[in-house]
Amino acid sequence: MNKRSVIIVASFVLAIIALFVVRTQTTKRAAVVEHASRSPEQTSAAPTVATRKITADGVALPGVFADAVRADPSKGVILIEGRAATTEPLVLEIWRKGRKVLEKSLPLHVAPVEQMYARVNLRDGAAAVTPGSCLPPANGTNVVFLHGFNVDAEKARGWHAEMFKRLWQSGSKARFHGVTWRGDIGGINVFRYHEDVVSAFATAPHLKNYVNGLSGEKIMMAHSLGNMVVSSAIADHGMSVGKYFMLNAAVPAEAYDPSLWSDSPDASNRLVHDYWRDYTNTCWSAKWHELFAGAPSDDRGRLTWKGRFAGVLTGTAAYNFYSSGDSANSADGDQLFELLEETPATGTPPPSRRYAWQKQETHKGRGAFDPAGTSWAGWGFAEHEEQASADPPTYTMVRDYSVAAANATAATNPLAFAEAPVFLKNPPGMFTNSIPPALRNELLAKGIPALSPAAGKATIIPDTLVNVNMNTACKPEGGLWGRNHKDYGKRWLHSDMKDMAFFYTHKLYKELVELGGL
Amino acid sequence: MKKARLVFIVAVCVVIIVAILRLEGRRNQKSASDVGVGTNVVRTATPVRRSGEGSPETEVALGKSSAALSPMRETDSVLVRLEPGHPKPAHIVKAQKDGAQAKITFLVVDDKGRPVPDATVAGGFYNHERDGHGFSSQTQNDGTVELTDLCVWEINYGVEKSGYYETRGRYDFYKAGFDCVKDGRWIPWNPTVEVVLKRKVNPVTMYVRQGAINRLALPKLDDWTGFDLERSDWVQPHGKGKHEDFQVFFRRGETNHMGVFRQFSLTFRFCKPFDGFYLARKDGTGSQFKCIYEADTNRIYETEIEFSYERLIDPVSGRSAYKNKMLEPDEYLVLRIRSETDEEGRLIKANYAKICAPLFAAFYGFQITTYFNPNENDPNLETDTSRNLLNPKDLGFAP
Repeated sequence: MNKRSVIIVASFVLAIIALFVVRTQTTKRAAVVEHASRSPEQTSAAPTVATRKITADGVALPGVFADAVRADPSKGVILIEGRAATTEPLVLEIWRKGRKVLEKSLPLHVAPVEQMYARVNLRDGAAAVTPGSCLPPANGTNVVFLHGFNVDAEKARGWHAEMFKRLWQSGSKARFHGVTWRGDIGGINVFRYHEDVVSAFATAPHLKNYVNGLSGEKIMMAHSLGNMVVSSAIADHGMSVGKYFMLNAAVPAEAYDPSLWSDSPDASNRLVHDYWRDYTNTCWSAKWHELFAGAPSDDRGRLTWKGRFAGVLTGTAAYNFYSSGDSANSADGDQLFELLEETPATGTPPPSRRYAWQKQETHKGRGAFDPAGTSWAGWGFAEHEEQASADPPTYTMVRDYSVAAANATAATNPLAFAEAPVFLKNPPGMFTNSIPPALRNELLAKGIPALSPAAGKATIIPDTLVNVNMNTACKPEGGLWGRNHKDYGKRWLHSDMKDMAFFYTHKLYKELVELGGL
Repeated sequence: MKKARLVFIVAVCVVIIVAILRLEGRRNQKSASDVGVGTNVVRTATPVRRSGEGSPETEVALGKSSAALSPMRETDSVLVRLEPGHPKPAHIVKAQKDGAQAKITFLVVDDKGRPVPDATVAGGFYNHERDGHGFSSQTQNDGTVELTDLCVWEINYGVEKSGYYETRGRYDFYKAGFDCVKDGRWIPWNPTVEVVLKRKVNPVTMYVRQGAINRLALPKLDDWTGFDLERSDWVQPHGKGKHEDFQVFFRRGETNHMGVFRQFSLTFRFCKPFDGFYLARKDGTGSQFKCIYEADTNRIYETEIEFSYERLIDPVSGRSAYKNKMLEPDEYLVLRIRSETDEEGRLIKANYAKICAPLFAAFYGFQITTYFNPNENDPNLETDTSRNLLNPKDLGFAP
């Protein structure tokens, strides 16, 4: 669809000081005046503007338009949209008494937007690159953007086109690279988040290969789970980038800042599954790695999100653009990352995106039939079958440890948990001291719950990262917002950097361009 | 034919999945019930009171969708605490899934506590984002508006009226740990929630720097550097500032190869007589305008304050610990600066300003959010958000 849609190669303004025009036509003026007289609040509902097709025969500008320009030279904006690819110029002619007295040409190159940047496909492994065939002039800097979770190849095209246009319109002259990766595994992808995290880790080396092959300055940008790919590429594979912009990052904050990891069993720790509140935290899978802290060569000691991407902070200058949500009474962040004061229920009816972060972490190990869960370790319990009655013989699943037994073992012999954990003892490959890196990543994705909010929720490590709250710092005048959702009010939600009109988000892009030196 | 077979297979699969999910749910509930004993409930001595909650009504004005419900008695609104460690009662689970009737009365008052009629209260009863549960109503002469609808959890609302700052908020009908559903209704039934709608009194055009995105160079290390609030910059030669409104002493710890320092302190000092600051806290009304309207000219203005930050890293565990004494997001400083006195030392002239978070120093620069009222002897701190004397294009700041 994008291929067919043609957009302007460059937005431009014609300041016309015309003394004479041939004909008068009022439609255009009415439209322009209507738009100009509206307040920004009013323009949020798109006004109906008359449009006119410019053909080879030309279009006469209305006399009143010329009069308006004459009266105020700062006025006179004509918005032009390309409707087909062309390299023909746009020509302004001024006629007087049937005689052409002036002709000015504006060179144009109208092309599909996707030809203006490189499209990089990592969905099948190594980069398959479609270089842009109509690349705009660039300043030698590369900006590489990755979309997030649950974005298929078609949706990725939309993300990339929008990001390119918004950055370009904000003054970026950097060469844009839109990267597609497989963050949409499965038929009903929204239930396959953990698989997509595994995919993110697997994509990282390919991203590194592509980015390290670029010449010039390299600036990374990623939205949501795309940050898992980028962070792994930097921390695990030595991807070299000058700056890294994390946008609504769906990565545990503890991966960058271990201090945000909380092993408090208190009810205020909303990332602990409610069923585990009475178990001492030594029993948790998220703390299992601590049993092996004294053996650096034991891979089980590395099964934690804590500090997993610490290498990002030493490898590049990182910027954390997050969204806090705007209500004083619901300071838990945006729609995706807000946290409940209890474990969100299994199978909460759609839309499943609410409390998504908390669900995907607290439902690890809660069973593969749980739409937000997995069958690996996590908050599942190690259980065995016991005969409930002899005749007829019935069986029931019983936990390996009662609360009392687990807590007693934790107090007296915690190392017993190394082989016989309280949590679900699956997969078998987890219970050995040598775990291949790919399995370690998979274990983190499916079996080790984060004990911190997403990095895209709040300020993290302010001494090392620039943190910008888009919800408060990137809205236009007076916190103006083009949507007043019945449930979410005027909050800057997870994908609003793309979903909201540029009018409302332009401060974000201006900031990205300035900070990134784009 | 193939299509029919496919539909059949899909239908069978759906049935199997639903059955397994139900079994799984039961299993989880059973597992949870292992934790404690039984499902006894304990009555609390006093019902939960949250800000704005009123007394339960003895007579209920039924909403349009609750006509079939029986009248509520006063005792029906008493919240009962659930025994910890037990699975959530089925009627609450059902209410969270399918919804229960909710009723609430908003009382909209201005910052003086006077009822605000004709204010628009709009938002939605949360029902898993399903359509048809939004509302938009006007307050009556007594400032109240009564709303009733099905709800699975909370109501989100915004209150607006021309000449007032918008207030947004949320009220949770579901209360974790309490038996908050009775006879298909959320209790307490029809609480009165007070919403403060702050007036736009006299917004003043100010010089505003938004610290989150407009960073300054760091001040001079281990020395005092003057700061000009009008220019919102360091005083020359360190910046473009001309008038020293206060001084900043900057210390920091060692830096790593990236220039990162994990420890610093900033001391603000006010040198002129009568110049100084006091610490204030933003109000929790949910209003767009969270500060006081005017600086209190009779307060004692302190002359020195130190902010400090330190991140310590445990060499063994790698864990960080913060010792943070910075300006919190809900705090701000009210400043009196440029004070002048008469011959007898009495204050005759001053300007007022405020400093809000973020206030921070790092390798990437100095973040400070400042509002400077240029009008002499005007303690007004209410800011016109449509104009910025420091940078006309830099808008989007809070009033």
